Amino acid sequence: MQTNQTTSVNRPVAKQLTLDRITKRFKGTVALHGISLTVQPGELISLLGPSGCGKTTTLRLIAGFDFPDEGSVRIDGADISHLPPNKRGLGMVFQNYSLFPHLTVAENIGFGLKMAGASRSHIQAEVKRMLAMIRLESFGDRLINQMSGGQQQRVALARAIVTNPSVLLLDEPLGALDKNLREGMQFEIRRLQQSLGITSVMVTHDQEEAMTMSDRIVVMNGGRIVQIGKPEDVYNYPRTRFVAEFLGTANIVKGRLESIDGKRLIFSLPKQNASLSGSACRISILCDETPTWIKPGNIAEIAVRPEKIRLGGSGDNTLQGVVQQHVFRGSQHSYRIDVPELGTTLTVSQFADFHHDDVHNANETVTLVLDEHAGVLLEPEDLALNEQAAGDGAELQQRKVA
Amino acid sequence: MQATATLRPARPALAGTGAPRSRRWLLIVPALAFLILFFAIPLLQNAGRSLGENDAGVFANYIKLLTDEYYLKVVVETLVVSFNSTLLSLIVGYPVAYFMVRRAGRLALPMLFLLVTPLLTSIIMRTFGWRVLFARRGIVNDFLMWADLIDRPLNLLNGPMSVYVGQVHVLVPFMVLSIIPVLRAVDLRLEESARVLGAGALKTFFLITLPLSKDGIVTGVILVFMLCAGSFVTQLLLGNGSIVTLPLLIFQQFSLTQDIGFASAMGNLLLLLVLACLFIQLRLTEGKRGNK
Amino acid sequence: MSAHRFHPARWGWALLGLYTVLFFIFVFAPIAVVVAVSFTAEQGVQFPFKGTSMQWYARVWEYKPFVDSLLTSLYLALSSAVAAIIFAVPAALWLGRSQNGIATGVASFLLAPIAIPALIIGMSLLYFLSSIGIGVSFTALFIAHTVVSISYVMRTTLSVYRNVSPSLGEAAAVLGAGATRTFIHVTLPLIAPGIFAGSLFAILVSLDNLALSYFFGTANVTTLPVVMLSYMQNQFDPAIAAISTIQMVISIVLLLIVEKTYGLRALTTQ
Repeated sequence: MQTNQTTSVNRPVAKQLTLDRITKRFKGTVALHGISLTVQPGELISLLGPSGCGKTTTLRLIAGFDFPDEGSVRIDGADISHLPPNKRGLGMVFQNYSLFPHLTVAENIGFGLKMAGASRSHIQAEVKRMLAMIRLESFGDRLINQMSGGQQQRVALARAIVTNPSVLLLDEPLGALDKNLREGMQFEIRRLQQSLGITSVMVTHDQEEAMTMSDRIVVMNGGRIVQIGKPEDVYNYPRTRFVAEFLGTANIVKGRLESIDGKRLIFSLPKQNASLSGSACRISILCDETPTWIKPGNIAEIAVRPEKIRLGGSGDNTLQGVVQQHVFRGSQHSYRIDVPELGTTLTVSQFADFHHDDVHNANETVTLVLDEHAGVLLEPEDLALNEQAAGDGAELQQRKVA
Repeated sequence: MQATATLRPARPALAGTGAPRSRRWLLIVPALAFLILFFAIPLLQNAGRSLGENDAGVFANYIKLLTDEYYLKVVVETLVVSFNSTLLSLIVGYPVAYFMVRRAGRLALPMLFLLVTPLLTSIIMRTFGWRVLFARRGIVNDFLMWADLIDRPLNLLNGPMSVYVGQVHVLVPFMVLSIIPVLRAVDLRLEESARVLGAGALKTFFLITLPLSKDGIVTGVILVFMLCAGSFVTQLLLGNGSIVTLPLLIFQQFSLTQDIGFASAMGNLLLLLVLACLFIQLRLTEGKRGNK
Repeated sequence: MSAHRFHPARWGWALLGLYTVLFFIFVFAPIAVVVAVSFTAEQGVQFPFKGTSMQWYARVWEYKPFVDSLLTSLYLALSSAVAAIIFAVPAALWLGRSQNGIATGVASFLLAPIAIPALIIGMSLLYFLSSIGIGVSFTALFIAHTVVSISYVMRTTLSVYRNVSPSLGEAAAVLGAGATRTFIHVTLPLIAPGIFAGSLFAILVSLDNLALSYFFGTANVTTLPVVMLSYMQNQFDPAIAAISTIQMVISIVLLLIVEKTYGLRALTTQ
């Protein structure tokens, strides 16, 4: 079965990881509901979601610290579901690094090779190569407690990849670092992973981190996969309200479907305040496919990202609002705007372009424009889940604007 | 290697082996078996032996222990001596613990070492030392005479005082060691807040520090009480018979007595006393720390 | 800054400091006296005394029961500590990662011998062993001392082991180490300080354990505390001081050995 390799290959053949209908129960509660996932060779995917969504459980099942009640874990087709962790040939970076405090940096890195029975000279050579790769050449004889957080992070990474694992697992690897260090390490880990082409699965609750580092993001909630896709796709085309609100900020408005014109749906945003005159604002949304679950007259939720609302200008589909709060965030201006027509407050953000002096202050009245690209139709939660369950492990298709 | 699909918590007990859980319990078997065989069973056997089979009834030995004037006195004496010694140890030891935690700074570790060193010496050695100090022509008497407090040397070794001194001497380190970690956990800033709010040093101590270090005091008190209740060397060598506690009685009677059942009853009574202390401690700590 | 000369707080601390000094004098007085008396040139126990001599150490060397029982005690302490390690370390490994009520109960049971007066343990064990055919002998002594030593070793080992993060074992597993190799390469080095500290405790307690050994003494096989006690009751001379001092020095040496190898921090975490 899988074992750590003792010989080094500069760019080993990347492997595919498949989770096939994995179900896991703990003392009566279901932690994972038949989740399925395929990680392509050389890909880095992130399992992203709130606490308790099952992402850590999934990672631990892949690692072998626990075993699925139903379903299987396969690497390049070989079933490893019930192998103990020391026989799976994986690499793992733990949340608090889990470096051995009684061993030096070099001994930590070489541990996996030692377990695999490599010769001392080989271990020495590989450790040296790794230390160079993580730019800690002279730190081999140091003890772990003499290293800074960022350095320990790199040692943990080196320890995990020196054995040429078929899959690299990362359990919230950057959680313990402070912000500046974290951003640097995000790029560093990603660079290393890509140059070595190791298939990787990362668990994180930080959506920015997931978006920065991943080829694809797997959004999980309540033991289920809610959406899978490239970071831009998941961000720009969230399937459900949960995804829209979990990744970045989203304004959620309710719209009534007025008409369907091929792939274009026209919604009206009903006035919440009866005393306001004029017709309701309309918004048109382009879909990849005509949705079957909604008919004219139904009400649905629409997500609008703050950066997609334009301020100023005129037109038929505009809303009037009063600025409640203005926050300057360095690279952008963020506004909370009260829109009586919708009976809600919208968040709008604009890039701070220093040529542009159009800052809006509190109590100012502004016009908000919603273009065709501004809104995304959100599916109801249960619909998305049923589709996922029926999907049988197939990729969830994303809607793209044509 | 197939593993059974059992319900497991998120962190399996022996992480990382994939070994069927059913084999891990083997680790505990040797120790458990050894102690059951050579610790639990003898104690149970002892308890059994203490229950008489003769015409006098099952609890005859215990009735005798608790009603006969002499034996009752011994039992009560055990409790009284333990209680007094514990109280004295607390009064003597708490200030030391306080000083070591709050004030000693770099000296704290050497002081800790000094505190622990007496525990390296034999109890006979320490008792011997007190015998020398309290002797008729020993230093204590010499000092008292020099200070004109007494005319003739006191026979200090005939009374309870030397026993108490000896006991406290042995017990205080344990008391201090119990209090230190808890005192350390009392945030200095709490005392400082009290001071800012107007409380003087003594008030701060009695209203803030003392209550917060309660746990350590309780642990120390129970520990010291148990140790004292079970000890007899000090009473044997320092009291000259003035203080007779249950363990001392057992020790002295053991080679003399024909009545094994009665000896066992004495031992069992002492055991029950100690178990009661342990039980109280378990109750108190369980309530405090939930389920650690 | 206040201009007060007699700042009450500082006087309070000074008083407390003085008290602490007196306390430590109190603690060391009897010990110091015994060490001093061991060097007396006089024939009786007297403090203060005139003249120093090594005569009492010579006497100890000549008095066969002292020497024999000292060797017996040392051998007993070391062998029961080794046996205790063999029993207690696996027990600590099991208890350290078990979180249920049964484990808590088992832990309490295995730690109980420390709390139960040695007098009772000794007495009941004597009766029990003779009822199964093991009479008064070194074997009986060995069993008795091992019972107590197991608790001491387990207490510190368990405490240290509980502080070892389970994820270290997981990391070792992912890197290819099975259960045995994880134990040898990761767990054992990390719990070694706990094992040593507990063994030290066990040895020191065993050397001084009068109550436990009292019941098992024979003319040939007996431990030092028992011999010291009877000597003190029958003869009461400075030889006691000499042998006590020797015993103390041995204990200090053992303590220093453990301190140098592993540090004493494990002891203070109780």
